[in-house]
Amino acid sequence: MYRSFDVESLPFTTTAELEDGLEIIGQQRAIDAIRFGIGIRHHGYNLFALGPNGVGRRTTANRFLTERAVNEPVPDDWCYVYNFEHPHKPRAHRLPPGRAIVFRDDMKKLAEELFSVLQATFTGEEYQLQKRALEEELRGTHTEALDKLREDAQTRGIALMQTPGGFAFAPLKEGGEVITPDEFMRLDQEAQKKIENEVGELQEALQRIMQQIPNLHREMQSKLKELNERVVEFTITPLMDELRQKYIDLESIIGYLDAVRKDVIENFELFTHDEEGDGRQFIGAIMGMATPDRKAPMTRYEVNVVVDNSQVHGAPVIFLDQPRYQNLVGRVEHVAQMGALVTDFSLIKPGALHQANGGYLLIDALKLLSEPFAWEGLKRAIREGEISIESLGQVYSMVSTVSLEPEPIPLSVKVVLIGERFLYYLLSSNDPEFNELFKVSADFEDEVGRSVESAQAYARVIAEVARAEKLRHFDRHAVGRIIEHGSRLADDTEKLSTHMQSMTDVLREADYWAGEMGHDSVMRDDVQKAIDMQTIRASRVHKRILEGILRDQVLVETQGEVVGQVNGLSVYSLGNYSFGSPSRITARVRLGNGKVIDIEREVNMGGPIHSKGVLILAGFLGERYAADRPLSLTATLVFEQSYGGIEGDSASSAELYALLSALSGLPVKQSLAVTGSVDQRGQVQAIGGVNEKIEGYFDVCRSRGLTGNQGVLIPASNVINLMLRQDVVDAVRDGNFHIYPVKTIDEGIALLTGVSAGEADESAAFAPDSVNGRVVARLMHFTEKQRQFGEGQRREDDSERPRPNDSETTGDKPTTE
Amino acid sequence: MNLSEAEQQADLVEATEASWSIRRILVALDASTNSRVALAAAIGLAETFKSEIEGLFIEDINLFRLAELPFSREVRFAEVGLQQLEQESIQRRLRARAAILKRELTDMAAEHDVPSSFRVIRGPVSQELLAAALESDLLALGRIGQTILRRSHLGSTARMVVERASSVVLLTTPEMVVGPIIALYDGSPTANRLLHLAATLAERSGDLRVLVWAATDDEAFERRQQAVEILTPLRVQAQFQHLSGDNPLLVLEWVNRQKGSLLVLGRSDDLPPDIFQTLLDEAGQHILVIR
Repeated sequence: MYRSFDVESLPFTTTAELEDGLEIIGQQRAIDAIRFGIGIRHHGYNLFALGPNGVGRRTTANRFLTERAVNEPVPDDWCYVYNFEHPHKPRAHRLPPGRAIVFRDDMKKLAEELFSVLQATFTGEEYQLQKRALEEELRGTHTEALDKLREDAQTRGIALMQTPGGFAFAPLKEGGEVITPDEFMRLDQEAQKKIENEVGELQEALQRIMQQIPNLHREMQSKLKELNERVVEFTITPLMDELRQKYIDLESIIGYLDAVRKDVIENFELFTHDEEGDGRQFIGAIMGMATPDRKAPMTRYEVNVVVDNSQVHGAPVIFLDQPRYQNLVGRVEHVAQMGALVTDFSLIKPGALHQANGGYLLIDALKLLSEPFAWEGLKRAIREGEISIESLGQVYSMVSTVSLEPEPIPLSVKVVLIGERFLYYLLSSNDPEFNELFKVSADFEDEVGRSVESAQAYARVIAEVARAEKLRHFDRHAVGRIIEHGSRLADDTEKLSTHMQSMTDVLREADYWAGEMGHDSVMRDDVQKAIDMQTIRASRVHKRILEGILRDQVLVETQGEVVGQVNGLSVYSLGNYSFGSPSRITARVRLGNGKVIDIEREVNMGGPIHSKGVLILAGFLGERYAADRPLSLTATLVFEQSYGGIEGDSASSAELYALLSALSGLPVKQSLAVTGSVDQRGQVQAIGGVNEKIEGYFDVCRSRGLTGNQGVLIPASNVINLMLRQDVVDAVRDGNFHIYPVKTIDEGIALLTGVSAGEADESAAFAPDSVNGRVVARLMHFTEKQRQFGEGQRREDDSERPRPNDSETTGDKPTTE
Repeated sequence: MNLSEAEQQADLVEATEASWSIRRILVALDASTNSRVALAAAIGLAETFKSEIEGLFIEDINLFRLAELPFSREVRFAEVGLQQLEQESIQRRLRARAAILKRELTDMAAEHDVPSSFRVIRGPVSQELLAAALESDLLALGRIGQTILRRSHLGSTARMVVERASSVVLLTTPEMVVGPIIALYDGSPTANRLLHLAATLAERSGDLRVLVWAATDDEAFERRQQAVEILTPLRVQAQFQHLSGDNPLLVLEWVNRQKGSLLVLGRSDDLPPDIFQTLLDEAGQHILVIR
């Protein structure tokens, strides 16, 4: 009924004496699989750690990965830089660990230095003089020609005037005003002719000068560009050479620095010119406000470090808590500017794959599958062996606006998915790529064999948790009680649960109660209190059901005898809490055609396993009692007052007992309750939740007052699962309650009816007073009635059917419908 | 501070406000980019001084006279050959430009809540401009008009206006430079008023740089003290630099190195004409000339 743990086998007084070191209990197969999975360096050998929640899959995987990763090389850093040829495709560069940050700082410093040196150069007197000399040199001839023309015109009394679209020559009179047409007309013809000729000559000369202007501009631009480039190159060479020397060992960085050098020379204005704007910006600018942002050229030469392993020791082990698509593969962020969303390479943000590259990435499988596109994104990255940062809009062609296409980064990562078993099997059978990409499964056990070794491992875990969570240490009696609780959670006296989450909950709560009691270390009573309080906190529904039974709103008899009525036992699971409760099962029989009607199934309230159990009953009845004649009965079975669904076959033995009672007419003792499934041969088979079921019936009986006759029939094979509550154990020991392990239906019915089941003699006949004998007699009776009823019916049918020669007489052909 | 000091300071503030009450700003507009900059700058000042702004577009009478002459031809930008110059065409083009400038003025003034008006007159440009300037407190115009080959020197109209206009003159550069307000202080009464004006302008940016000029070092140091005393009661933070000697290029270099948005310059007898002229010709920012 309860397998106590011998605390003498624990070689300590309290867990304080135990050494550190987190134990992983009973997961050798999973550990071997993880070791294999992380050791094998081939494509597709990623891991899936499967098992129920709370058994320590993540802790185990994380611990193994961390232990291994610490001795592995630190992966390289990665950064994104501006692509001078294709700005929308930022380039990715790999640098040895720790150097990306240095490179970023170097480039930032370079940009700042470029600012100051180029500003100084271009505003310096030397450059300005050179520039002015060049401009003057080029402009000189034309300006000179124009000035000469203007002077020439002036000497002739003609002015060069600006018109709305160009220039014109106007003859002047004294005082500098343009001559009026009247005044002109009053001049003699010779004077008029002279003016016209002179104006004509000047206009031609002006035209020649103006035609040269575009060439002049072009030539000026070209010479100025040459000068600028020469000056920039001269200015930046020492800075660039210094950097080149520093990164001489990194070919790709040298290539980038060369591109930077070329770009600076081509775009040096970015460093020398303040931003220009239209008149509206000037209004603020004249008041000294709104100093233009000089970020643009700085950004261009920035280095966006997406992976920085400068502080990492060994390979990274990353657990991605929120495996959204963007958190996985990274994203390109945008900023709003003047109402539009814009981006550049400095807004590329890394995902977990970047951070885990060269190491290990742990992801919760359920969360991963719950996030849209995340699973596809992960598979794609593993399959392609690279991380491509694309927005979902791009991937699915939903957005066609120009965005960034960062250069993909090569990926070398071992992914460990952590999930429940059903997820593993679901993926394995439905996603062909899954088996290709996740070749190693680490299957975690729910329970481990109960032995002195495993119990001591349990104790070490308790010690570790107590230290890690700053709990009081546990004395060995408390540890013993926790080990016993582990067996109860495993529903097996020979096993211990590996559900570490439940165990640590008990540890924390026991520590709390120890504190309440003023204990220095946690004692057995504190553990018991924690377990009891967990039960009490979760028992609202259980108490309501119990109350319903005690108030006779749910009819369950616990004494007396009734024909065709048995107390079955059910288990209810609400979250982590399970409890048992009795239900009345009744059977009724009548003449019929061999059918056992499961009312639950008829109204779709019975699950398939329950229906299967009922159909097995029909098989048992047929084989045992009507092997050579028709089974002429119709039996109906029902869980009385069941308003929810029924699933499982653990009540099939109870249903069979009810049926046998109904057939035999022998009453069943209501002081007993029954659980166990049954096969077609009448063997009683193991079921789950035996402890909860016994305790559930015990609670009802105790509430009404134990009579000493009450008890539960359980499958004999479930005895090893018995880890009953102390009050149940005490009641059984004192003879106030009974537990009857039964192997066969015959044993069970004898206990329930007080009448021997009866064994078949050589002629396969049962003693008439035995249960089986009575059942056979009743079935024989049904069969005889059936036969009589069948004959009577046939006679009636024959008298109504036309005789064969009638049809011959009429010549009609017989018809078949 | 005793009573008499307080009274003196109150008088000073009152005098300053009265002497710098710029109620009306006249901006001379033609079709060049330069005049748009002048417009923007003038609106900025109008906003600061809470003054009204008037755009003046002068149709040059000489152009119409020229168009009446039988042989008048025009050499146009980016066109090959000579074009007949006709009055109608000139009229149409000038009106179109005036309409554009009027709209720009109205829009920008409305945006900055500055009362505005716009006027088109026909006549000789310089005379009309000087006549109109008599009715305003500040005249804004571009330092150069349209040119074939861009030069930075002062245009003839601007030069004439600086010499003859009675009002404050704002000369705008073709390009805008952002930065602090620069004031050139030479210790003259004009320079005293200049500092007050510069202080008002620098209130919003908080960045005022004062170049104290004098013929000798000692004098420069003394004037620097004066400048500090003038600005201290106005509660304006300023950086001071003093410079002596008569080399205009040294002054120009200092001014241009500040990368200021506006140079406030006084036309006084104390400042050598060379320095004044060099700054007018070569300074890289707008210039506010005070008489």
